[in-house]
Parts: sequence; C-alpha cells; structure tokens
Amino acid sequence: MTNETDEMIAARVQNGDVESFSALVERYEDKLTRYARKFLRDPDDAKDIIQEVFIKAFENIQSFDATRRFSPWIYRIAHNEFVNAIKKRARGPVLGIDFDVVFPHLAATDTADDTALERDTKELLEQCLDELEPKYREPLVLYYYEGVSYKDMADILRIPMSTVGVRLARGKAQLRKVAAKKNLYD
Amino acid sequence: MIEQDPKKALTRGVMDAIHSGRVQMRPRWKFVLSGVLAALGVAILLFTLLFIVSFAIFTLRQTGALFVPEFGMRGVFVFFAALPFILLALLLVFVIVLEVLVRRYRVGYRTPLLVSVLAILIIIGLGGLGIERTRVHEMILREAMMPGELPPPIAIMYRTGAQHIPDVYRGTIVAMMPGGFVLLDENGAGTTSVLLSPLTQLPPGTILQPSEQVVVFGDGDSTTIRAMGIVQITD
Repeated sequence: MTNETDEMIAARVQNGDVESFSALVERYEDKLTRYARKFLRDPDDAKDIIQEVFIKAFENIQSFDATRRFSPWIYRIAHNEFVNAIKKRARGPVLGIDFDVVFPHLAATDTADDTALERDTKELLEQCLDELEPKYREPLVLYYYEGVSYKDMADILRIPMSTVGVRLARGKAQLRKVAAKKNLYD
Repeated sequence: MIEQDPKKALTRGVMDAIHSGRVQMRPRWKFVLSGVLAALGVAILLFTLLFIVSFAIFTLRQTGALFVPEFGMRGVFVFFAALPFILLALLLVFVIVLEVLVRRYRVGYRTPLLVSVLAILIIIGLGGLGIERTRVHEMILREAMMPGELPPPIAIMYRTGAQHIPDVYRGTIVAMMPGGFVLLDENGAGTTSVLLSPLTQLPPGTILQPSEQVVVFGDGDSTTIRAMGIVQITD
C-alpha cells in the first residue's frame, strides 16, 4: 500500500474499500495538523478540526476526481474548515472582499527565495505568525511549511495564481514590518 | 483504555466514526447531479443573458434610439433615456449570479474577477448582437402585434419594447414634398410630414427617396416633424 499514490488509495475508497481511508488519514494527519496549528494558532482547537476535515473528506470522497491530485483537494477541505473556525472565533466575517482577486496582476509579484533567505523567512515567521492577518498568514504557512506550489495554492484558496504571488509578497512585507517592530532583525 | 499514540487516536477516531455509521459517504450521483445542475444553471443564465442583450438592442433599434446619439448631446440624452433600465438591472443581477456559478470551476476562480466579468460581458454583448441581427425578435414582434398569437406577457413585452419614444420617429418615406417628405410610421399607424431645414443633420451618403427606411430625430406632433437629424436605415 505504501507504493500506492494518494489518488490510487482515494479511488479504492471510492470503490467501496472504506478501510483504505485510514491510510489517507495517516498520510495527511501530520501535514494538516501542522497547517492547522500554524494557521489557526490554537493547538487545542486543531485536533478536533482536523478530525472534522477527515470526516468531511470521507463524506465527500465521491466528489474527488481521481484523475487529479488528491493533495490540493484535501487541503481545500482543510482550508474551508479553518476559515470557518476563524470566523466562529471572530464572530463575524474575517476574510471579506479581497480586491487582490478582482484585478488582474501582470505576473506573480513574488519570486522563490533562495535557501538561506527561505530559512530566515521561516525563522521570522515562527516568531511573528500570530500578528499576521489570516489572509496573508495562510499562504505563507502553505508555502514555507507545507511546500505547496503556486498552482496548488491557487486551487486550495480558489484564487488566481497571480493573486497567490501578490498575497505572498504582501505577507512577507507584513512579516518584515512585524519583525522590525519586534526588533528581530540583527 | 487510554490511547497512547495521539496519531493513532485520530485515525481510530475517524475510522470508528465511519464504522459506527455516524459518518457516511455521500453517493456519487449527488455530486454528479449537483454538477449537472450547476452546468445547466450556467447554460440557462447564459441563454437568458443573450436574450436580454439581444432584446435590449432590438428595442433600441426598433424605436430608433440606437441611431440618435450621432446628433449631439440631445441625441445622447434621448438614447440614455430610452435605455431599458429594467432589462439592464436584470442583466446586472444575472451576470453576478453567473459569475458566482462560474467561480465553481477552475477556469473561473483562476481568472481575476474583473477579467471574467469582462469576458462574460464581451461574450453576451457579441452574442446578443449576433442574435439581434438574425431578426428573430422582428418575427416575434410581428406575432406579438397580432392578438392571441403569443402568451400575453411576451406579447406585452414586445409591444412595450417597440413603443414610440419622444423625439424619435422611425418609418418609411412614402412621398417627397417641397422642403421634406411624408413618413409612414413603422407600424403603419399613419403618415407624418417631415420638414427639413438647412440645420437638419444628414450623414454623408444619405439618400432621401420613397421606400427608404429612416429614423427622424426632431420635435413634432401628430402631423409635422421638424427634423434635426435623419438617419437612413440600410439593413
């Protein structure tokens, strides 16, 4: 089973092999837990929400197109659950109208960091995540901790790819501001 | 017994919920049905939008309002006053609903909102113009003018859409006369004398002669129109 792709396992679950779903849970538990903890910033909440994500994934597994990749599909379910959790906590709309999605951007304004810069950004993120807006925190978490590509992030967040770049760039700008305020730069 | 490994606990929790029947897989047909309904919704909305746009252009052409903006500010004002605002409001609502439906699809959410709205507007604008040129609305209007041929709401909609608007007269020249011509109303309602003056605007190439279809822009009453501008309808 270990050589099987997620998509193959998902297809078997779709065909009635319910037990195989445990393999998918095991494969994604750590990733989604990390995503939840970094994005939600509430470890107590994370476990229940992750369980809910897997339950939703099982309920809706027949909507998964096995010719596509499983990872963005389950991350999309997780994203929805996390956003709902943040909304509940805030008792009101959190993400609102996003003008980044309205206007076209000629190209993604963010480019990949080199390894050293990526490590620095990750270290800063660790210390400043709490103070970033959820709108910018999420793409940064997906990019730096989960290694999600722009393309997959566009599918998870359901935004244009150029907007992914804009959010990452603005997220990093916000991160630099927070880091400067906290005197985290040498 | 307390589960020691939290990782296994989560897997067990999920699988227990599945085994106990508390959590059930939704059947595939529900997703297929929802996909088909959404696609059908997109198709119906597109069709409705194409109808609205083509009908709006048709009413503007039928009343002659489409031709008057070339006669200066007053023409532009008459054109805007003649716009079918209820249809435009409906158009706006349907475009928003269509945009929401389209964003379910990858091609929808991967495209910036402004671009996809513009794409929808261009598609329905060009499509509506194409449908309007097929004269399908003209045929429906002819039937609408005959009592009992069409269901009342459709007949009323077409008759209202073709109603005369102030300062714009569409018809056929039936005879020339000194200083003007005699115009037969588009719907055959009667004739009116059209008076020309040196100030009457005539686009280059305009030929005024009997049997020509024209739109006259000017002040008038039931017997005489003082033409400020005349457009020959060539189609």
